[in-house]
Amino acid sequence: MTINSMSFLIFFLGIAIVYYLPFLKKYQWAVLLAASYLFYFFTGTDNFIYILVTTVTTHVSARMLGKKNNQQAEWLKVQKGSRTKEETAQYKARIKSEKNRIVFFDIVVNIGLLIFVKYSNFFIFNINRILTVESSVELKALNILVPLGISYYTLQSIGYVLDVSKGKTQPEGNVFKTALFVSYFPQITQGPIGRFDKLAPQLFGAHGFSWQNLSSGCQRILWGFFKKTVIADRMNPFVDEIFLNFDQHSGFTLFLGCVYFSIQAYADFSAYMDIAAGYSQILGIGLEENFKRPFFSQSLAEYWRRWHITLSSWFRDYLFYPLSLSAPAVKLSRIGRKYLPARIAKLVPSVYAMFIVWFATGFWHDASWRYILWGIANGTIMISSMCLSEQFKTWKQKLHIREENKFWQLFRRLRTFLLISLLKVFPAASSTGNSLRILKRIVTDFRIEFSYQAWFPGLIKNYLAYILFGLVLFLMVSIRQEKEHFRVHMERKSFVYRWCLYLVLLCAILSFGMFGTELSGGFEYAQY
Amino acid sequence: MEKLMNILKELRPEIDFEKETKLIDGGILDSFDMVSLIGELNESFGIEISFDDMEPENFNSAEQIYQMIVRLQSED
Amino acid sequence: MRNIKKIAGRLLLISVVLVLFEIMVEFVYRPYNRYSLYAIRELKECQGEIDTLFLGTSTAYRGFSPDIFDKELGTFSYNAATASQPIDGTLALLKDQAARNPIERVILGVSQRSLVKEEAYIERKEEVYDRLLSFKEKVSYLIDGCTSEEWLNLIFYSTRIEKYLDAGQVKKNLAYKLSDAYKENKAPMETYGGRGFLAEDTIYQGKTYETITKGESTWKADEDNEKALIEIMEYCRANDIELILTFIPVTGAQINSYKDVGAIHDYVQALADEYEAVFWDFNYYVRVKEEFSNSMFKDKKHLNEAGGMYFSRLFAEVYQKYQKGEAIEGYFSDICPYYENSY
Repeated sequence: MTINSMSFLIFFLGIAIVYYLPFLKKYQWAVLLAASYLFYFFTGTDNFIYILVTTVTTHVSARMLGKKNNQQAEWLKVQKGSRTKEETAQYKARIKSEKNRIVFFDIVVNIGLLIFVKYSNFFIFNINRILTVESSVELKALNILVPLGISYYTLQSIGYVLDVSKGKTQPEGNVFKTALFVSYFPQITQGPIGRFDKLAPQLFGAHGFSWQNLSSGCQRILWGFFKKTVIADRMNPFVDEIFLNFDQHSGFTLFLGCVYFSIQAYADFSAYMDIAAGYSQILGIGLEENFKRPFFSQSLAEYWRRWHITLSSWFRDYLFYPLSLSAPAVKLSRIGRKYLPARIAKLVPSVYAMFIVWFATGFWHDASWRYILWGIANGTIMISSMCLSEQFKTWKQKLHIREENKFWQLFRRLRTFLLISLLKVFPAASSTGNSLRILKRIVTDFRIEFSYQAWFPGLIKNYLAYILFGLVLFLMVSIRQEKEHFRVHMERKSFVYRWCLYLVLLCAILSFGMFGTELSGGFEYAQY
Repeated sequence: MEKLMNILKELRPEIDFEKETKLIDGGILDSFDMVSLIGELNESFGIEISFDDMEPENFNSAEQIYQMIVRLQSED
Repeated sequence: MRNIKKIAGRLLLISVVLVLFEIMVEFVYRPYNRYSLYAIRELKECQGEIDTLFLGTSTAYRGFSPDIFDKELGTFSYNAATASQPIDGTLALLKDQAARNPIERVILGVSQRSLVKEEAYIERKEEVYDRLLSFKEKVSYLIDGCTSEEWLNLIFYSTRIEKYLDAGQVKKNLAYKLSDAYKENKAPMETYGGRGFLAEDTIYQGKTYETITKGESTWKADEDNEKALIEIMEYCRANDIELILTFIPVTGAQINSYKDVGAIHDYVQALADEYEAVFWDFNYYVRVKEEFSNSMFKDKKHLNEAGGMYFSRLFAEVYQKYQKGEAIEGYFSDICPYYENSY
């Protein structure tokens, strides 16, 4: 049962009715927990053990960290006046190292589980490669069924434990409430990765039925279905075909394939977000936004602030900052100051942290070399543009380009979009070797062609029209969203205008959307 | 405060740090700026800003940054 | 309460618009030259009168001519067979029609292939769903016979259309559908023989067989199909409907591709015996080789116009004797005639 299915709609209706029963108001969180575990069960992952381990370790670690925080606060209060600065520092350092041990334990267990289920085959495969050079010993692949949403809920849970360690949030006392935080059903399959301080109060609080929530929730679901069925699912078979039979296509077509894949992946992923957030909205729970029109970005760094926001901000807050403030980074920057120009030296800790973050981001997506390459490519481009920024400034001055020039901005957007699309060659191809082969073809065999077959190989013309219709609407809405929240825009319009739009959208989904027959169903990002 | 203002001005000359109150929430300082800034602050004020202090409410305005520095300097 | 009213109002608005939209789309886009369109309209017109129902797959809608059957036997029959009709679909159609008509007998042209098939294509389910007239049967077919992913395709005709921009087809559809012939429910194709009977005059040009050597057969009925077939038999018994299971003749080439037609035959015979249904296998008809030569078929396993009419008459003849209590054993051999002399 995926979130875009009819069965989910019916499941959700049942849940929503129970959820809003007046006498259950105090237990709404329990209804959500039951729904989340039911959903987990219906989705075919009967392997609850992993999510239970994460729930329990998260809960226990958070509680222990909370106690340490209280202990320290208590000590500071009691000892006020009678302690020296050194004593205080010593005490704090002791508590800090105790807390670090708890955090370390939590991370080892949870990342360990993630690595075990998701990456064991990758490691075994690579170890075998090395082994078989020397001998005929071979390890057997484990082929563990990856539990639903493990990549997402693991990060969310670790983020919570780190927040408690920092003293940013108070730990939750009820283990069942922690269980809900870990497993909340609209977001478990592919995020958004929530933060405890924003999500938990909503999950545990009581919500009265509100017309506003229902109507804006439904609007988002409708819009999500439109993007999913008319754009993403319609494009899917055709884009798949390009990459599957890449050796039959020219470099130009393959390059276009990357662009299509990029658009398709965005439509698919953002559609999921809209549907998930819409459903959640109906329950009165707002999910974190994951996208802010990423294709309007003027640089790769900006793109990553607007695409899959909850993932990149997780990596920023819980990996990039700790790494760049860590002892090795400080040491590196001291060395850098000695040998490098001051401007570059300042960047040394960032570069060091960036490299690790991007390696991890790539690896998080999938256990394969092509994702690692993809991550490193992203990191390398951003690091170089950071280091060369002064250089660019001088060039721009020489060429008399002003930042606010509309054409210059458009050029930057287009350049960023094409760059992002080209990088998509790694996720799009079926293997690391193939992605490199495709890349080689794009570079060596690139001639602009004008035949329909070169632009849209194998795509029925009618389908192309549906997709274009979907994309034009998508673009128009995105441009409007750049200026203001779309709901604000809609509220200004009359009832008739709004309902005409909804009904047209609904009919367009039915007519131009793709259903049942082929591979509609899952979402791409659920595999990560 | 003046020392802090100089550091900020040097980091991003085009921003009016006197008035801006959404340095983080408004996405004005990106993560690279943050890392550079913290390096500078640690160096110049003899403090140690740690991961625990990395919260938007410590960095959203010059005033908030200043308060954090004062707090860390007088840390008891 | 106010909210419930508000929600109900919105839902009503959405439903009305969707219904109007679907009616419009179906009128404009459902091809005017497919027999189903006319067959379904006839089915609606015949309500309350049908006493004999033919069900089954494409072999059945090309094999049973209601016209001939009614002429020979004085019945009022209708052929509700559809392409590769899934057996649970057959059951749904039977229940739907039995609730609205004085059905006395059901003749089910079982297809060997549809017994084996695990999951039917969505297009096959659409054929069944479109012929279900009552809301209750439609809903229960959606729930029992289909996955929730297929619901939209079945409920909304607009989701089934591939080419919205095919102006040529739209023009042709509208031209015919706005004509008087359409109002009189006249099908534009000559191949349509009325009340669900399809008669094509092409002739099969394949290899002819005299005798066939039995091959290895891995034939096995799917569990769900068997369950549905049993349910059909039980339903008929409980409602006093006479049920005749039958295999319609196919060409020697098709018999050959079945490998062991005997295994299928024995399986259905055993089921029929157990649930007190009648089973006539016309591939065991004593003169099947002589009377059903390739000239009676349009392809390997479908009767053509001549074949369909001939078979309808033969079937009516056997049925008449059976009804009168006369012996009909002489019509059927103990072994498929194609296998005789093959050892």
